[in-house]
Amino acid sequence: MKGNKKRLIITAIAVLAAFFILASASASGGQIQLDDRMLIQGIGIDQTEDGVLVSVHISQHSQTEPVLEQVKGKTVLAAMDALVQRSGKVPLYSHNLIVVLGKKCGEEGLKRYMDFFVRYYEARPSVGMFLAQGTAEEIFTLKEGEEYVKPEEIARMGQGGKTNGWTVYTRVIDFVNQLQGEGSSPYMPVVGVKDGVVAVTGTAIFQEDTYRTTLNPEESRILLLITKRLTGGQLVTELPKTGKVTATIRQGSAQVRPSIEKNEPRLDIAITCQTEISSTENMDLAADETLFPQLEQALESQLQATTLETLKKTLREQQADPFGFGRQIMQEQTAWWKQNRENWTEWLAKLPVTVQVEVTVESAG
Amino acid sequence: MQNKLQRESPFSDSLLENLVFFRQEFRDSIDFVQREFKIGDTPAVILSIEGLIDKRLIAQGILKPILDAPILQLDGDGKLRYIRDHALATSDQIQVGNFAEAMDKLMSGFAVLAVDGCRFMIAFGVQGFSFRSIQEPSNEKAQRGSREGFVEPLQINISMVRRRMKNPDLMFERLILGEKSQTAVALCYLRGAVAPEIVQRIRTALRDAQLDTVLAAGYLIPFLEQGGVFSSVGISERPDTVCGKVAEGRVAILVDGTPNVLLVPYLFTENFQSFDDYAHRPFYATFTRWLKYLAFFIATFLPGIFVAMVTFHPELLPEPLLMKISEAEASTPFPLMAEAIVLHIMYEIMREAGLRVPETLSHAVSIVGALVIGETAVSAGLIGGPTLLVVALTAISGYVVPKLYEPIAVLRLVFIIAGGLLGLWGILLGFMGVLLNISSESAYRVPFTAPISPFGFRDMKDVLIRASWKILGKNPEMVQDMPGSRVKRGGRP
Amino acid sequence: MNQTGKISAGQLFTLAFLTRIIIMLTVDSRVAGGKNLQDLALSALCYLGLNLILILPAWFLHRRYPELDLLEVSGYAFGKAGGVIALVYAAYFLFINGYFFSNFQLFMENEINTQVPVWVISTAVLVVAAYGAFLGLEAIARVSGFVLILTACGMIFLLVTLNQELRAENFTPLLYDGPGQTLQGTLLFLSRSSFYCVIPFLLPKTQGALKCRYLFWNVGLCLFFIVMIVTVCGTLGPVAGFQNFPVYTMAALAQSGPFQRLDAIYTGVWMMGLFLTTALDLYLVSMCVSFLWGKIAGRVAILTGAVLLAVGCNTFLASGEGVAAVFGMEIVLPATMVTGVLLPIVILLAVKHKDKTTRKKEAQ
Repeated sequence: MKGNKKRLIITAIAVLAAFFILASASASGGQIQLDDRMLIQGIGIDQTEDGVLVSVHISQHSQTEPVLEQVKGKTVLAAMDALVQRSGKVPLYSHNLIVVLGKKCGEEGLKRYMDFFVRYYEARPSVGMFLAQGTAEEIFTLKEGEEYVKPEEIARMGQGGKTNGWTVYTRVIDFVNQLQGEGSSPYMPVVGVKDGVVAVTGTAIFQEDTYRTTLNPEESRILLLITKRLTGGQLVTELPKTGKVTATIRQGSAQVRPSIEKNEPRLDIAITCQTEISSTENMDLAADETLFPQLEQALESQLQATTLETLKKTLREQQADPFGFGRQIMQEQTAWWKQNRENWTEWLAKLPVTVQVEVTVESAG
Repeated sequence: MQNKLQRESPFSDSLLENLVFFRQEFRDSIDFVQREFKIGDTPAVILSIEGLIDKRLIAQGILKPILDAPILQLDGDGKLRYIRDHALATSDQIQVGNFAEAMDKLMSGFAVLAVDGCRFMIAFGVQGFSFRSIQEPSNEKAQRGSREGFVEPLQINISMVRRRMKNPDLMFERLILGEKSQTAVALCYLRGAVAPEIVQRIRTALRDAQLDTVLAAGYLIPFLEQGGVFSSVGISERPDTVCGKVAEGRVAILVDGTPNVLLVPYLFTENFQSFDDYAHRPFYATFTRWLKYLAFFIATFLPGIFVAMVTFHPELLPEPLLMKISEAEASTPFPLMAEAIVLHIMYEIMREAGLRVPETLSHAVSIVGALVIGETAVSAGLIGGPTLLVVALTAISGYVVPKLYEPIAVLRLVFIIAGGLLGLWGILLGFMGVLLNISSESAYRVPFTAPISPFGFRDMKDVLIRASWKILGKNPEMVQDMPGSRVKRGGRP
Repeated sequence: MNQTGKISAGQLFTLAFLTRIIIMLTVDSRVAGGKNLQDLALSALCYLGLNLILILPAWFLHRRYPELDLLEVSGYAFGKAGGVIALVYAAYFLFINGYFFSNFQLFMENEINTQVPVWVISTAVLVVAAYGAFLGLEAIARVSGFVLILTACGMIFLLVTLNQELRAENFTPLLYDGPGQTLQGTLLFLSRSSFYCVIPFLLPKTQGALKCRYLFWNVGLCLFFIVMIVTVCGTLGPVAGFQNFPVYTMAALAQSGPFQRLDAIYTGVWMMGLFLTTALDLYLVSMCVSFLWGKIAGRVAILTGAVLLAVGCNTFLASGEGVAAVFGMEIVLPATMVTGVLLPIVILLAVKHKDKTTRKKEAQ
């Protein structure tokens, strides 16, 4: 009974203390009703003369399409503060799906805009990043029909690369890793307006945080292949007998073997693709397996040519390394890397690369 | 005090003096019956309490044999002994030596025969009071178990247990509790299975209980448990459940006048066990067991978590759900926490009303409840649909584990307030507080949270899963063998 | 049958595990001495080996007097002077708990930006922890069983969902910048190993197979560290080196179907571990004070300790600079090594000497 009494007294004190705490919490007024929050779904940033123009898509429960708000400020956060001042609502960034940066921001350097998305407590590192072909404002103000293009649709376009093999998808954390990490250059999908609709048109390549060039969809596929992110897509080639043949990629991968010879690095890239024929222009010959070697050869040549073109465009012309070759050398040839990491971009211009492509056509569909 | 002393004193050999005492005690109570007659020339009387006895049994089993018997003894003592040994046809007869025993027997539905010149009396078990017929308990229905539940008379309840456990080691120990009500209470345990220390502690706890009346089993619970959020005393109305628990080394406490039997020690995990679990096949029983765990968490935490997430942590909710909730809450005038509390209180009011409303009015109550809450309040924009859905789900889930309804109903409100004021931190800290409370509890030196913590792997066969009887039957779990138990073995109960 | 007031070896090491994992959850490049957090995997292995050695003084002390805790043995060895040792340990338990608590508070202020004032949440944690300390060791130990289940489920869910985020290119070669970070990491783990001090207090209150549980715990802890470090580095990559709380950032990436932004799991696990640590440390403070001034003083010490922690963590320890000044490695590491290793050695030697002296006197 004595033990029970002791427990009772202790519990009573604890309950009183709990009341005090709850009362303090109540007095602090920290509760925010959902209706007092601004659900941000997409943020677009454009550089202006004296700061930034931020275009924001906000979801509202009473409407199916997002609401567009545009604010100016010296920095992104300052602009968002102006938005809060205007609406009186607390912004909720946690559901933000995309960040679209204007091309000018890319040309001036993205670091000054990225810090907010990395540092701010509510901003999530898994938000998708896009570079606008023109301005982010263009993307956010475009109406398809009567409604603005929803940020989730744009995010889906980027993620669609898993199926179509044309587009990369870059999150904030991926971009920052490529930027801050040794031996890699950042990249992100390019979004633009094509025939009055928003579409992903290629991949923007950066050196450090500055935009350099854009890869077209075929070149973007090579980027996906070499970085082992390709999981689907179609290859189209033409044979004399069958006409145009479309082969679906079942599986695509690349083995990159860096080596050091006479204190100079070289890369051997072996690309493999397993495909199946999806359609041909000549149905009668579709199942003729004697045509498979010809088809494989044609696809291999095509892929090889595109790979070499992509490597030239990125490594040679822009000294950018979106494929992460430097990082791989860092992991596998650490001693050499430590000596030469400071001038890796100079090595890129003259780095010998051999490319071998092997395509297998496994079935006629 | 004087009365007490007189009650303890032995009978006088004068029948008149003895009768004077009884008449003083009962003070002309209209149900106190005195049937005076003579055995030869010797005055005799049969005392009884009308309403408790079967008059035909007295007439045929006691009076007639006595009056027909050739009793040749001259003294009262000899006559009564002859009657006791040769004349009567009753099976249940007890010799009583003092007034206290006689009073106790009279109150228990015995008839007491007193003969002039005799210093002892004989009590005959001739109970014939009316009682409710044996029915299935409404609070503990079973799909595959028996349909019998305990009733109010102690003796019948004892017989129901005895019928199911035909073991001479099954003991029933009688106690009288309640200064004024003098309620008979029986401790039921299985010698050899129970730890004597547990029986001793229970006996001591009950004897030390200072109560005027014991009108329900619940009166004894505070004296048997440590006191915490969850009770360490179980209640059952089913004889099969009680037998199962007694076989596991527990003590059952049967209280006269109530169909609820108390079971001690009672552990937290037992709240999720029901008789049906053991009658169904293992895979289904395991499924329902986990359903109960889930229902318990939903019933206790869901409203609080819902309020916390919407108010403090909307980032955890997927966007479509967030939009729906936002739309619903935008039109309501109250903050979400207030809404949730009001809804729960309204539900509890309706539940209480439903329990006590006369059957003829129950339809009206249902209609009012459904219309007021379900239809009007939502369409008038006073409460939000999602909140109502959460409360409804919570309410139904609470009935999946009916034994825990009381703590769930209170904890639910506590967690709503904690979640509404402190967010998920509040829920977590409240949860830790409750965990601490139940972890510090012991049920007769057996950890209340065993076998989860302290962990007993072998005991998980009836906690995480409901193993087959082939496994359960091999090594039955005895409560005193639970991990962390400090129960001493050995000694007599 | 369980002896009065004793906990099982399993419960003791469950407590030990849960109170240790909050070390991992709060590591960052600043305290780890560099941005190559992968090297902490090697630190974990070194820590595993050192754990087996540095626990020996406490183990030998326990083996010599299995039913006496460290204070009782020091009282026997030093007489009244043993009281000083009780004060030293009481101060240490408050100090080290202040270290963990202030880290938590910094996290709440900088990373979460709670709508509720941080002081309210930290006070609530302290109230619940003090409640646990009042209820005693058995209650804390039993709660740890539940917390282990929840933590295991939460961490496994987190790690499984993060599996798809692991990228080979995110890893940096081990010892990339030399062994310095490995050494720093080992010292960091050692400095936070208040368990060396806790063990000699709790071993006499424990029953069961201690040796094999200890080994199991040690290996399990090391494996946990390694898995967490590999997952952090594999999912976050170089970004991990720039985060104040990289494990939290990693949890923010976790998603499984409709469940996204699972950093709440991480925070919940941390809070539960912190609560257990605080409750245990306050309980140990009360043990020390009770040894000197009786049970009631011990109970008052729980409240006093909680108030001191609340005041300290909300005033001079409310900033990163304050925390770095008070809880720098140069202070914490010696404090832990002295109280956890050196003092038990000194007490052990003193007790051996005393026993020898006593035997000599008896022989004479």
